[in-house]
Amino acid sequence: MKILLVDDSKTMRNIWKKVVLGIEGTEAVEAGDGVEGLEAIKEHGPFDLMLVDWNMPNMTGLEMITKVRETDKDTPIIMVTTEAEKPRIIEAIKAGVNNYVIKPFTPDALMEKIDETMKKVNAG
Amino acid sequence: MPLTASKIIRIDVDRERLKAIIAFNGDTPGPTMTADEILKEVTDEGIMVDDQGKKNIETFAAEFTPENLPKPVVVATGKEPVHDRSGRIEKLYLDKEPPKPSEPEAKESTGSENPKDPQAEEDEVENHYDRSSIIKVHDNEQILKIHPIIHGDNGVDVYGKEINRKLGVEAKPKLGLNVELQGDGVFATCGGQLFDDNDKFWVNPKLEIQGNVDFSVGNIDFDGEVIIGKNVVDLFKVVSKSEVSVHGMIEAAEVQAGKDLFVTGGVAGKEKGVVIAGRDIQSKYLTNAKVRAKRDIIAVKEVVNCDLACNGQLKIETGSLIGGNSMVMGGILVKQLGSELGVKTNVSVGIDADLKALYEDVLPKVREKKQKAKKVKQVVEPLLANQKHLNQEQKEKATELLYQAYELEDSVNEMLEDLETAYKKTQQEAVTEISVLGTVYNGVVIQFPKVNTMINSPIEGPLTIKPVKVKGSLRVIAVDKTTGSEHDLGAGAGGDDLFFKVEALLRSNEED
Repeated sequence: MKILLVDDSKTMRNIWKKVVLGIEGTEAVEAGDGVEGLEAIKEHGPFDLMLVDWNMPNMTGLEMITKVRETDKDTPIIMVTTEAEKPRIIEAIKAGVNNYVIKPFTPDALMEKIDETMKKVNAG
Repeated sequence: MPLTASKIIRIDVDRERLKAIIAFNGDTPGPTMTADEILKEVTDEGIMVDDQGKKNIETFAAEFTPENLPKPVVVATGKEPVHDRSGRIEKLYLDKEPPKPSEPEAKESTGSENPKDPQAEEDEVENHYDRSSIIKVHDNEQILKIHPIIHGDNGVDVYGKEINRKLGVEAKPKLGLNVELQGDGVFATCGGQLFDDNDKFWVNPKLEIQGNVDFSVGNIDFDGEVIIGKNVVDLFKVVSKSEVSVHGMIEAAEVQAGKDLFVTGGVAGKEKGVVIAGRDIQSKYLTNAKVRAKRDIIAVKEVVNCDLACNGQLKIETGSLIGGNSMVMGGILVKQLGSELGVKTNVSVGIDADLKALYEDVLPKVREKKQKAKKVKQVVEPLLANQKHLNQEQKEKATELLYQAYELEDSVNEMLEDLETAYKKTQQEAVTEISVLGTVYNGVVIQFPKVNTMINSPIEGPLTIKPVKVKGSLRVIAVDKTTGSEHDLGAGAGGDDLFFKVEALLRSNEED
């Protein structure tokens, strides 16, 4: 499974990476903001899953997801963010995210969300 | 010194025939000659006159008057031959060979202007035990570089004849076993000891020391088999990745064999000796030494006051095990266990020294990591309880802290999984039995997994001592091999038992 990790915090990306690399056969590509995320899709895509932070410089996660969904309706996207307000979550879902993880989270919680998302996607 | 036909001039040619000089042949001025006449007479003698020679002849002739004696001049110069330089053998191993004990290193004096730092000087002090006269080479190591002949040029004498240069001789090393020529290099075809006897080279894959391992040999660190003809004396060290055979004694020295260790003489460690084997140790006797074997330890006469551990069996079929601490995973076969004097002799049977070492390594690490994880959780818990009021930065920080705790716990789990695997392996492979052919004496303390006992009075054998479950609890029982009768030796179960400690540690993690 090829996963794109987009967050401006390297520490956070490392945490995500360690969690997703626990899934056998996983390859992770990192990006530091929305712009880099879109470039990574061009360069290394397609991905099987994207984990995207909301608040990032240059281009927010929400803006990036909106751009992605213009051409790609299928790749599952999980937004991993500190934005916990209901209207924000709705906004993200409208933009096209498949699942939502609110920081702080435990590695197990992230893993559960990934499993849940992939199962839903695979179930069609 | 030939005279020309006219006998007016003479021609001097040096012994190497590289220079021809003409001079007036007499003491007083007399008849003269022209330059052409001189040139003809010189060339008639077979001398090849070059341009400079012709000019010199003209000068000579110009000075040549009835009143004047001309000065001698050079009329021909030959070309000196350049001799070949013979090929040579460069011994590459000399660069790495430490100085021989008989040739102490000459150290340059630094003078009073630049006094040495005493500490630095101390650090530089050579370890004389490491000074070895043995040349060790690895497989495929280049040991020689053969330099070819450097060809010179033939010369030419003043008569135009070629003067042959001295021809060079090719360097031809004589190659013996386990060395081969590849291009301009000679390589070892196996690791071992290199011998160089008057430019005959060979490699012995075994290292054979005829006498003692002492200052004449130095410490040994060798990949292949090591055979020592006599003793390994105090404070020397022998390390081999293969077998080691010592035909004499091992004193207060350290000997490590990657495979088997055979000691014909015995080990008298004087409380400093260490013998370690990757497989079996066989020795006539073992006294006052640290002894470690991954498989069996076999002694003929006795094992006395040793700190001993092996993963296989301890076998002293015709001798005694007296004093010290022995941790044996594969059971004990011994003639006499302990001594008539009641010397305290600790034997742990069915207990893996590796498991003990792993437990001792893991325990402090597990405690430390659990403590750290606990502290991290103490920081993060109030944050999690108050999530709604956290700002973005605090939420990110809380995630990081949660991850830190997760990693610490994960690391603890990994260590404990390794410990559990080793523990299960011990349980499966351990042989919890002591077979005594002669007598077990008082003073012997026997530790089996989860049960122990102390022998208070001698028991005559042959007998087998083993842990047996009696009415649900473990007891140490001696079974007389002749009559089959059983003798209850008691049942202690101290908290120091390794099995209890390992189980407690594994359980503590489950409870967390």
